[in-house]
Amino acid sequence: MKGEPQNGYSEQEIIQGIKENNEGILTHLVKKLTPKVSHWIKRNGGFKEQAEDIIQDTWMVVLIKIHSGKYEEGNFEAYFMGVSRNIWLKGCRNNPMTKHGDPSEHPIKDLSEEELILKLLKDKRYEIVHQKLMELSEKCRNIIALRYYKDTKLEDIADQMDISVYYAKIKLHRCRNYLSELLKRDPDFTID
Amino acid sequence: MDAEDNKALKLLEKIDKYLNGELDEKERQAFEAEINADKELAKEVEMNRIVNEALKNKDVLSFKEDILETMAAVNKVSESVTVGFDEIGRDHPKKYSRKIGPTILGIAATVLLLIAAVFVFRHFNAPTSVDSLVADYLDEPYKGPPFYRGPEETIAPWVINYEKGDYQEAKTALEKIVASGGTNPEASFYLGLCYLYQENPDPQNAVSQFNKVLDSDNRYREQALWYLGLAYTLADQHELAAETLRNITGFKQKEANALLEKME
Repeated sequence: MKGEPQNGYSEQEIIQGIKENNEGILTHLVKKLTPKVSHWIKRNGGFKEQAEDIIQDTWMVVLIKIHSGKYEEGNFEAYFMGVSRNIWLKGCRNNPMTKHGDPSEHPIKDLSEEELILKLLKDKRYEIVHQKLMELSEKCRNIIALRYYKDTKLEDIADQMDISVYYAKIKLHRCRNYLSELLKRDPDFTID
Repeated sequence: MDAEDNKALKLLEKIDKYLNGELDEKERQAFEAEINADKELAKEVEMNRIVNEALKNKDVLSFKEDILETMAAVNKVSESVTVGFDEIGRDHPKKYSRKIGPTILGIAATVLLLIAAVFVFRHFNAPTSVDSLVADYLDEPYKGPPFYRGPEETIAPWVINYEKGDYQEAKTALEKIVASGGTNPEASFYLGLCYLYQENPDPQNAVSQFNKVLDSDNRYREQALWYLGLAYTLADQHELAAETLRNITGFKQKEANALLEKME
């Protein structure tokens, strides 16, 4: 039930405890959830190592939700179990997140939310994109932020920047292009 | 806009549409055939996929540091309690010891070593020649970030200023970037260098920036350890400097050993 105590801890206490890395809350959760997930994976034909991986991945997905404020309070334990099942069932384990082969295999639209979060956290290239963004001029960063972070339409960007739609398009393209050039010259940003 | 630019813009638009699932079935199939036949195009699509995903999911990346901190806490807890993996394995009951953040624990160990060093080297005094050696090492600035000279309007001023040795200006811009939040080891690393290279070096602030770099797993860690050692030396924290330099195993190891020899 929403917000009801789970083994002596209320939902709010659990979420707050996670945010503050509270040892008591984390111990309670590890003791409670690890055997539950393990047992479920065993029943579904999994092995110990797979259970360990699934639990680690589940924690990462859940923590992103909590730290970004996107976790909707309800029943944390049920939510944790749900995420671990999703990760298992989506076959994340058989589809290593660090693998980046044929681009047509992984178009954005086909990734589950869990898969995308894990990929973003595990692949260092995503961090490099943000580092390189800081090497762009403020104008470039602004136009990229409007288009991608805020999902602003080109027409509205043009309005805000007091330029034509055509010029906004060219400017965005130039900035994106320069970002690509920076990435291509970075030895740590490799495309297999 | 010339014809070449126009062509590139059209391609970028098409890639964006493909990645966003906005091409119709026939267009998608045709484009995928092109991708399969052209390795360069496939690379371009893959790079744009990464860029799009990174840009559209900024929030995930900006919380990475918090996540790793909590993951380290979860792993610490997991190591101290016996949990039920034995239920599904053939092994005896075993402590859950897989770590997602070994780096963080490694850093914690390094910090402990550094603290211990304060006691071990309580009476340590560095000879004067150490300072001149450090000055020599700082004489040759660390290279700028991988750089492509594109149109002026697209380049961040700090990159240009760092490259031309205007560390004061580069520092001001980098301080804003670092203060804007999130994890940015590259910005912290170069800000630390600016503190060391500026006319009046500020080693304490440099130490703080290099420690930030060491707080996460990134490609500037080895370099940051070397410059942290130099910053401690400049700040007259010779015990910490010596311990830091002893931890260097890669970048500038030879120089670190030479400096340690002088110190001892």
